[in-house]
Amino acid sequence: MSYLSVVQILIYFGVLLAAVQPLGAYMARVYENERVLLEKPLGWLERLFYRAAGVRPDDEMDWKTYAKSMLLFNLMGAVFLYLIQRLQGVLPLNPQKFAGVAPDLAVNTAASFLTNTNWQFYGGESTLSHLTQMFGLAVQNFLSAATGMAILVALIRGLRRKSGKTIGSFWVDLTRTTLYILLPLSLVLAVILVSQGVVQTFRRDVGAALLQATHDDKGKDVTEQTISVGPVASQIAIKQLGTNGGGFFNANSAHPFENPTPLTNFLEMLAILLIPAALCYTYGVMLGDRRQGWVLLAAMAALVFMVLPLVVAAEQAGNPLLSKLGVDQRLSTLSAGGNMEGKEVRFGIVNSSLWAAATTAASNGSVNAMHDSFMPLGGFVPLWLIMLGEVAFGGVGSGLYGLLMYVIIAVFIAGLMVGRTPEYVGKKIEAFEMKMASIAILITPLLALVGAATAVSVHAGTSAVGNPGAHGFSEILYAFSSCANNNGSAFAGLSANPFLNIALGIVILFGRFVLAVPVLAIAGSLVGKNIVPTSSGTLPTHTPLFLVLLVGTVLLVGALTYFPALALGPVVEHLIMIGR
Amino acid sequence: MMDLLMVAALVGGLGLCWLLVDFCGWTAKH
Repeated sequence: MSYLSVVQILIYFGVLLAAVQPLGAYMARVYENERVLLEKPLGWLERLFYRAAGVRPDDEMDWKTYAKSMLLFNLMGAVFLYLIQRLQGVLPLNPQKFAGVAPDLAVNTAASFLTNTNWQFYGGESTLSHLTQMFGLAVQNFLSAATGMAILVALIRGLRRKSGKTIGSFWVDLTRTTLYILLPLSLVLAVILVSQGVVQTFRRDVGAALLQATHDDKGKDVTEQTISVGPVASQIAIKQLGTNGGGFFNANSAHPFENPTPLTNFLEMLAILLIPAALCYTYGVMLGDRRQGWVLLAAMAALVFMVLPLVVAAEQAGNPLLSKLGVDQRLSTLSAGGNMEGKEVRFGIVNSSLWAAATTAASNGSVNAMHDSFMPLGGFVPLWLIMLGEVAFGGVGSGLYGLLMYVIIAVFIAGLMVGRTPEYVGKKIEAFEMKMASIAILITPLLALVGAATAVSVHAGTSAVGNPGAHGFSEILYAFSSCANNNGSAFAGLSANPFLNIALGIVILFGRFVLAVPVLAIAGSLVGKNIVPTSSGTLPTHTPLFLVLLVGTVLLVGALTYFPALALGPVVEHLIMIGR
Repeated sequence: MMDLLMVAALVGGLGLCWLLVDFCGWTAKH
């Protein structure tokens, strides 16, 4: 790895760290219903929403009402998203005259965007109208992100409050998140992206004369290329900030109209981890103990830093089989070297590897390089980060509430060691919380592994795979892991078919909500519990020791549940490669 | 027909999660 690679990585994480405190403090003010600057220009809109929806903002909900409001809201979003795709052929803003999306693909896409997964089994520019992209997908980008953040805030209230049964109002949390956090940040980022060349237009496709004529598969001369455009920048901004990841174009952030320059690449990469990282600080502020937030942020960073050098080194080293053929893959003054298959030259090895780690550490899923073309160990890293449960930064809201489930497991393990009832931030962790945390942690490996096992056992699954052997297995394992953990990135090489559309749709849906419901149940259980005063027997949860315990718990659970499957995929592929 | 089936799948999926809310509530009491 060159020193420039290290400098780029350090600058990235340095800027990210610098943004954590101001944004985290601001978000805490939004959630504490304190006055924020944006309430002056936007407060009327917030009040209008409440009045139109018949919501009384002071009416708080118990956890069951909160959970059912969340589910009902998401159900309406799912049906709307399904219908808009199916009916796009007769709806306006369809300059390319696209027909309605096929039912199985529409249900997959609806489940995917509803849950912040943004798994894409379609090519955006060749399948979806501007209306579907804007009013269907981009709207869900906002709402799914806001849903995740609302669930997190409800859990924080459960941990902080000492009495009562309520954990806030889902409608208020959803509205304030969208209006005061996601919309302003997206607007700023979208304008910057447009200034750099990301397109934003309602025009239909643009024709461009080819420099060299070619011919199609029927031998007919082709002299013109069709270049797709559309309202891209507005969608890309929230796609990154909301850890959604669904691109306007099929090539996602490798496409020059989504991510044209090194600056857009840096800003989009920053946007991926910005809110998940800042929410740790929000957590500390709302809890009244910032150290609790910092230790969780440190745990997230530690999990990423453990594997980031591996992906950069694996990609920079290049393919040994090509070296044997005399291909020069060394880093030199004339060449960036390394494995450049599936990567954009303008981003190179480091920015492709860093993006791959960031997008899979967060449950973003956008890509600026094709993970399928990474070296086996390079591909191992994104897969591993997804398999940790999207808790190393993770999705907006969902990453932190996922990590808090591991915190509960960690304090339980520590409690077993010393023979005391486990506590976290003064709240006793009892049988109910452990049952709920267990459901939350076990559901994603269950969905990913059973799903992948089923897919490799049936013809509909294996026939969709583009590569034979261990790499093909990795493609299926990656797809199910990505969907179960609501990441949404694809290893590529897997073709869509009705079986995978439906199977992955189910996995996506349960991966989100079967995890979210127990989290809210824990919030409801904890909210009424008194805070136990700190004593000499209390396990401090803000120390480096707890950091090690937490990281160890995440690694052990991740390693033990997924390692056999990983051994059959990228590990075997690496061994075969070096054995040749 | 296919559309009805697909919408039913979405409603059914989220409906199961709705039941999970009640199951978790029941677990809390027992």
